[in-house]
Order: sequence, then structure tokens, then C-alpha cells
Amino acid sequence: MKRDLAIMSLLWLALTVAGEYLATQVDIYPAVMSDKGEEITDAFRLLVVMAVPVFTMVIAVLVVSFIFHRARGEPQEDGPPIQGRGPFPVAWFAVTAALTLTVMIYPGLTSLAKVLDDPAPDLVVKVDGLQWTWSLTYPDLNVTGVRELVLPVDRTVRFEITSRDVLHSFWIPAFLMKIDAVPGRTTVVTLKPTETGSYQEDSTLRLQCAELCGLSHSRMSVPVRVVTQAEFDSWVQENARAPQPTGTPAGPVVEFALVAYNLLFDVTEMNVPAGSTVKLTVDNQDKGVSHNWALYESEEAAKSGEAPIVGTPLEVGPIKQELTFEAPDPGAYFFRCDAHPATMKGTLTVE
Amino acid sequence: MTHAAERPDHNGGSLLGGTYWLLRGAVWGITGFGVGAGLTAIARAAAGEDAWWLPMNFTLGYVVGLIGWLLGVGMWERWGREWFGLRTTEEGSEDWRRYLTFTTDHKVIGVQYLVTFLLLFLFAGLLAMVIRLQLLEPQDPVLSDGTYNRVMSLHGIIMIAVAVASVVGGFGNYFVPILIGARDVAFPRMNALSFWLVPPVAVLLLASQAAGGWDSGWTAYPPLSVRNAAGQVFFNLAIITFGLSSILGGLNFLVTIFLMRAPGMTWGRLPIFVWSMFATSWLALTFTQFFAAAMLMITLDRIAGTSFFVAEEGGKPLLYQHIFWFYSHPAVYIFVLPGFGITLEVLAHFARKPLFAYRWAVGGFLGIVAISGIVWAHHMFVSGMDNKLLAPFLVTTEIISVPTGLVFLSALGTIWMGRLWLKTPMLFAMGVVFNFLIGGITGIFLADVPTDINLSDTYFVVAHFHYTIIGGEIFALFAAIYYWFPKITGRMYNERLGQLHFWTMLIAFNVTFIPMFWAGLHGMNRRIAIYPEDLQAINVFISSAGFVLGASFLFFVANMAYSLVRGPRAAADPWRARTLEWRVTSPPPVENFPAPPVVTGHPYDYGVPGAAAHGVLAIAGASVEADGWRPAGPAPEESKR
Repeated sequence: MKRDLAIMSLLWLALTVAGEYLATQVDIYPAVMSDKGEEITDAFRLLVVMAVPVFTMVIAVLVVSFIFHRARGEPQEDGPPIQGRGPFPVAWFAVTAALTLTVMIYPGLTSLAKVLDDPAPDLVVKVDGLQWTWSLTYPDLNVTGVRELVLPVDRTVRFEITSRDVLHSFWIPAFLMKIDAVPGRTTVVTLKPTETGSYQEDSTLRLQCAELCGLSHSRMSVPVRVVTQAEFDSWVQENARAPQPTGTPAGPVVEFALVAYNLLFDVTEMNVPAGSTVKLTVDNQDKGVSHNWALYESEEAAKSGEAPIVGTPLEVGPIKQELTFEAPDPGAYFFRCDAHPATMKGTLTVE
Repeated sequence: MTHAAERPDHNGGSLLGGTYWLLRGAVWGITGFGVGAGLTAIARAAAGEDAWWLPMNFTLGYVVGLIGWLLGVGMWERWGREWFGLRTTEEGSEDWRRYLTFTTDHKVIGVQYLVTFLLLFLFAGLLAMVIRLQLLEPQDPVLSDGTYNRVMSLHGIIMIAVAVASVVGGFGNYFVPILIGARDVAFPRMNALSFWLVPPVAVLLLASQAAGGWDSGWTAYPPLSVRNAAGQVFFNLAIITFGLSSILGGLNFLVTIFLMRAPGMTWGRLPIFVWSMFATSWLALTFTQFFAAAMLMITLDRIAGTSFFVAEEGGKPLLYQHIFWFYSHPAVYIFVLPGFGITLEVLAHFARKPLFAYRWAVGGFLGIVAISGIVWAHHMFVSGMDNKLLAPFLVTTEIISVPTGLVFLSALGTIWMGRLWLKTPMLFAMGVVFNFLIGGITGIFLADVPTDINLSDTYFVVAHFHYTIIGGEIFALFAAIYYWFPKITGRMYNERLGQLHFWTMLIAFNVTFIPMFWAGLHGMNRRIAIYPEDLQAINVFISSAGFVLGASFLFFVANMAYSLVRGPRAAADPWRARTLEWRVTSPPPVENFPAPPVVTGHPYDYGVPGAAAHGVLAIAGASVEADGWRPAGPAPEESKR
């Protein structure tokens, strides 16, 4: 018994040393790009360090028993009748309770307070989840309808999140922060990006839906880009919505009526003469499903997150949307519904 | 058996004869469905609506159809005829055909449960293989998004059902009465009803695929589940039916354990597996109704225009999650407590030692039961619920690791310094200790709100719950299958194939699920049909290991098929274990004991000098009433423990 205890203790010690070395020296974590994310990673690492001795203790008992206490064939005698009465279970209970209390308070409750911290933001972004994309609005900057989440580095951002249809979940893996988008509620995440980068370089820089939301749940993701303040300012300037054009249309007026039904547009090819004014009606007949109509330079441009040339907002059907715009320069353009790019798309040709 | 009178020969000897009751149940069920759906159509037409609207006609048709099925499959014979004073019939035949009938024999019902859920387990395992096949390719996979979501949802709910009912329904039914020295459960006919509610559940889940399936996972969160394909309604009805089965089963076990123990079977001498079933039954009886209620509310939102969960109409999507998890967190202890019970049972017999800290382990079970009802919202840390709720649920969730720790104390103390007889059941039991250790420790990261904010809804969670459910329960299920195989079938399984199964399953299981923790940390969220390309390498690795894990069950299937037919005859007590089931022949006789058992000692007193035997079969009539083996008079004195 004493010999076995000694072997077990030595093995426990050796495994613990090895485990703690791995836990502290080997970087199992992805790059963290937000202040909250660093807090979360610190808590994670601390929990790993605390878990190692518990894990190795059980492993040591199992290994020593498996190697030294196995019977050859059917055991001919019984083991020692240790009943487990007396002080040992009491001590075990006390130690596990103390460990639990520790973990509960630190890192549990202490880091919880830091992660929930909601300071005054430098920037507010409104995020609407809808099947199956994210609608992004920068209300103070007059930027809306962008297909990419662009954020300035080292500025505190508050995301005000809600959903227009079913549950979604706002998750940017690089920031390690997540909260559900709930219809009828606004949930909030406040954080500060700490490094620049883009989705093209690191796929964890994406705004991903993390709550199963139906058919295209796994495709419900938009790229995230963290840039310097100067780059951000010029991006805002490019994308700030110009005031609505007024006055009489210059050229001839071409009218189109599109029906969006059953996740399809009824018209997939549109031809307009150069210099004309296009009056478009989008009749979304899909009850409870959001559609829009957005025009891009090309399909690649749309996929890479470029802003549309022109478009309607995503709105839940049934609804009729109207849009009037000047036909762009001659050439072939790509249009789609931003929520259903796989099925709802087509070509607009300016002749 | 009071309802026994005469035996009409419906069955004949043919295969068709054996399926007589199943066929009659199907015919009565379909007829009932037609009546229910037809009356609904008439009522709808009278109200000026379209006569046929799948969700409503199907729901009401199903309710009548379910009653028709139950009466047709045998309830009419067992209950109806007797109640109305008609001539009743006896139980069916003695051969294999009894497994296809509405029998009240708890051992037959146990086998019915076990075989049904093993088949469902293998089927849902194939679905897991499809999932892993899909995830070999990040952007251009084999299944469409919609098909993937349906396959994933179906895998989830069938495995949940397997986790709820395979051990409880299979081994609980077969062995709880024998282990406590009873000849059946307290309510044998209700027991049969519990089982025969299960086939409609399986039929519904599979038939739902014809109505577009459902794509909301096994959790069925609204508003999605209020507006997705009509297959969701099938799912809801399946859950309500299965919940009823589970509640009746829980009630039956509790009454059985309270009232049917043999003389001398004091609470302090109850085998630990029975204790775990006692604890589990409280959970099933108390909490299952909340899942059923949540499903009923979703069904009503869909077909009756209530708006419990529809935000635009004043409903609360979050309300559902509270009700759902109020059952579904305790449910994970419904899965795992019987697994703990089997594990401790097997460890004591195969370490040839008393079960270490027996009373503390029982305390651990009951502590888990008590605390499991106040931890549900840890599934909702990122749900958007009020931040004030985060800290309390962090605290309660961490606390539950203390009673769980007592189970580990008992397991490790029992193994320590034992004479470990490393047969297949023992290997699986030790596998539970190892796997559940990982499942438990990774649970701390999910109980801690800050780390959970990141890990929630990622593959870290997927890995964690597979470690607890497969690692904690399914490994124990296999421990139980190998341990009790000789008792149930009267034959020995093949030891070499059994060990091969264990080692391939253990290694492939860990190689499959350990990397999922890493994938979750690195941005792989769960329930996705496609994923970023830089996660492909890890997913190909996981899938490859997953296929090996799937293949490991071939050893099991081969072993069962071979041993059932060709296995050597098993002795009454091949493991030299002390509990009551080994005091009778393999398989045990009808009504279990040739003479009433009397319990005189503790079940795990291995190596204890001068310990009394756990139980002996009394000479009929001595100190026990001739009929009904309830404790009669003072129990033999119990050794203080």
C-alpha cells in the first residue's frame, strides 16, 4: 500500500509538471484581437492550470491500478476490504468544495464583472440578424447597407443587436465575444478591437451566426476588417449614404416589377438603355422572410464584401419596396438578394 | 396474474403469426388516425377553412391514432376487456414471439427496450457518419444545407432518446426488480404501456422526413420551430409521446423501489445501480413534463394561433429556453446517473472490493438530483437573458461538481488496491472514469461565464457533451451489456471480440473528440454544413477517426450475433458476484426467483471477514408471506455501514 501510494504520488507529480509545462508553454489558443477576448483567454488559461492537477491525479490512480493491481486471470482472492468510512471522504468533500469555491470566485465571478463591463462607446453599430445575413448600420455616421463590418482599432465599439425573424447569435471568433440576436429584444456587446486585420488574412475575423437559424445558417457570415482610424474615416466617407436625389429624371424612365417568392426572383435578366432612370418595384411575397435587391459591379465584388452601387434594405415580407436610380455606365452588372445570394441573383445589362 | 384466463392461438408458429399484435396495432392506429384527421377535416370545412392543413389534421389524427395503436397492440386485451367484464386472454407465447407482444414481464420489456434502442443507436450512429462525411469538405460538401440540417437534427434527437431510455428502459427494467428481490415492477401493465409508446416516437421521427423534416436541431428553439417545415410538428408530437413514456417509467421505478424490496433489503443494502435508478426516476418524474409542455406550446403556436413565443405578437422566445432547459439540463443526469450506477456496480464486483464510500456515493447521486433543478440557465449564458442571472447560475453550476466528485471518490477508492479482473465490463467501467473525467473538467470551462461566452455553440461544446454522454453513459451501457449478457441470454459473449471492441472504441472515441475542443477554440461553430477552409485539416482528421469509431461497433454487432447463437452456456454466476441476480439461473426464471429471497448482508462485502451473504433464497413460506414478497415483519438486522 505504501509502495503503491509512493508510485502514484510520483506519477501524479511528474504528470502534473509535464501538464503544467504544456498548459503554459504551448500556445493552443488562436490570436485574440479584442480587450474582452484577452480577459476571456486569461480566464481560460487559468482554468487549464487549475484543472491539470485534478486531471493528473485521476490518471495516476487509474494507471497505477491498471498496471500494478491487475489480476492474472480470474482473481483467486478478494482485495483489501477498505470501506471508505472515516475521515477520508470528509477530507475529499472539503477539498473539492474548496476547489469549487475558488474556481467560482476566481476566475469565475471576478472576470465576469470585467467581461460585462459596458463603458461609453466611441462608436455604435446596430446589427440586425435575419435569415441568413447580418444587416449593419452605423447610425451616427449615416452608413448603412454595407456588406462588411469595418471597425477602427483601439476604439470602444458597442454593438446593439437584434433579430428580425428567428434567433441568431452574434459571434466574432477573433474577439471571443458572443450574444444571441433575439426578436423583440436588443442585446449588447461592448468591446475594443486591439489589432488590425481582415477576414482575408484570418478567417476568425468574421461575424458569424452561432445559433442554428434554419436553412443557410452556416453561410450567415460577413467579413470583419479592423483598420486604423484614418482608414476607417475614409471608408466612412465612401460609404456614407448620399442624400436622396431629387428633381426630375434626366433620361427615359424604365420600370421593372420584380417578385421575390419562394426564395427566387421571377426576373433574372434586366436590360436598360444607358442614361435612363430605373424605377424598380420589389414585391417580397415570402411571409416572414427578409429579401432585398442590391446591384453590384460583379458577383465577385458582391462576394468580397464591396458595398452595392445601389440597393434596398433587407425587410421582412410580405412587403413592396420601391427604388429609383440612374442607370450606371454601360456594361453588365450583378444583382442579388443579400440574404439569399445562392438562389436569388441575376444580371442587369446597361446598353 | 389476475388477468390470466385462457390463451387464444392468434400467433400460430409462423413469422407472420409472431407479428400479429404489431400488425393489429398498426391497423388500429392507422384507422384511428384516419378518424381523427377526417373529423378534423370535416370540422375545418364546416368552419369554412381548407379541409386539409397538414399540421392540424396530422396532430389531431395522431392523437386518435396513438390510442388506436396502443389498444390494438394489446392494451385492449390487458385493460379494456377486463374493465368491461369480458373474457380476458393470457400473455402470449413463451418463445421469441413474446418480444413482439404487449407483455407485462419486466424482463421481456427490458429486452424490448434494449434491442429497440440499440437499433436506434446504430441508425443514429450512421447519421453521425454522414455528418462526418459532409464535414470532410469545407465549402463544397456532399449534402445540401437543408439535408444536412435535417440529418444533424435527426441524429441529435435519436441519440437523446437512446441516452434517455437505453439504460433506464433496458437494464432498469430487467434488473431493478431482480436486484431488489422482487418478481416484477409495481405496475407491470403500465410498464408495458411505457414501452409501447416508443414505436410511434420512432415512426414519427422518421416519417417527419416525408413532411420536410425539421431543421431546428433537437433543441427546437422558436421562433424557428414555429415557422419551419411541417416536419417540426411530427417532432413535437414525438417528444410529447416519449415524455409520457418516460414519466410513467419514472413513477413505476420509484414505487417499485419503495415498496417491492425483499425482506432485509434496507436502503443501506440497496445495490448502487438501484440507487442510481432511484435518483434518475425522480428526475424523470419531476422534470420531463416541462419538455412536453414546451413542445405543446410550440405546437399550439403553429396550429392554434397562440403566441407564446412569437415576438411580433407579444410572445417571448426566451421563455421557451427557460422551460426547455428546466427539463433538459436535469435530463443529462437522467442519462448519466444510471451510467454512474452501472460503473460503480461493475467496479466493485471486478475489483473484488467493497464499494468505497458507498454512502457518500449515494449522497452524491441525491445531491446531483437536488442541484440539477437549479442550474438550467447555464445553457443560456449568451441567450440575451438579464445579466443579473449570470452569476447565480455560474455559482450553482460549479457547485454540482462537488456531488459529482463524490462519485469519483467512490470509483477511485474502489479501484485502488483492488484485484482488478480486467474483463470487458471492467474495461468499459474504467473507460467511463477516464472519459467522464475529461467531460467533467471541460464542463468547468462552460460553467464559467466568461469562457463560455466564447465557447458556447462551438465544437468545444459538441466535444464536451459527447464526452459526458458517450463517455459517461454509452461506455457504461456497453459495460452493462457485457456484464449482464450471460444473465440475460444464458450464454457467454466472446471475450476477445469484447476487448477488441473496447480498445478500438476507447481510442477512436478520444482521437475523434479531443480535436473537437481545439476546433471549437479556433472558430468552428456547431451545427454548420460548411465552414472556413482553414479548418479543413482538423475536420478531415476528426472525420477519419470518427469512421474508425463507427467501425468499432462492428466488433460489437459480430460479438452479439455470434454469442447469442454459438456462445458457450453461461453458469448462474460467471463473475462470482454477490448481488441477487447471480443467485438464480441464467436466464432467470419467469417471476425471477424459485423461492423468495431474503437479504442478509451488504452487496459489496468482498474480502470482509465474516461478512454475511448479500442474499439467500428462502424456503418458500418461511418468514415470508406466501404471496407478495413485501417485507413481512422485522427485517433481518443490518450490519452498520
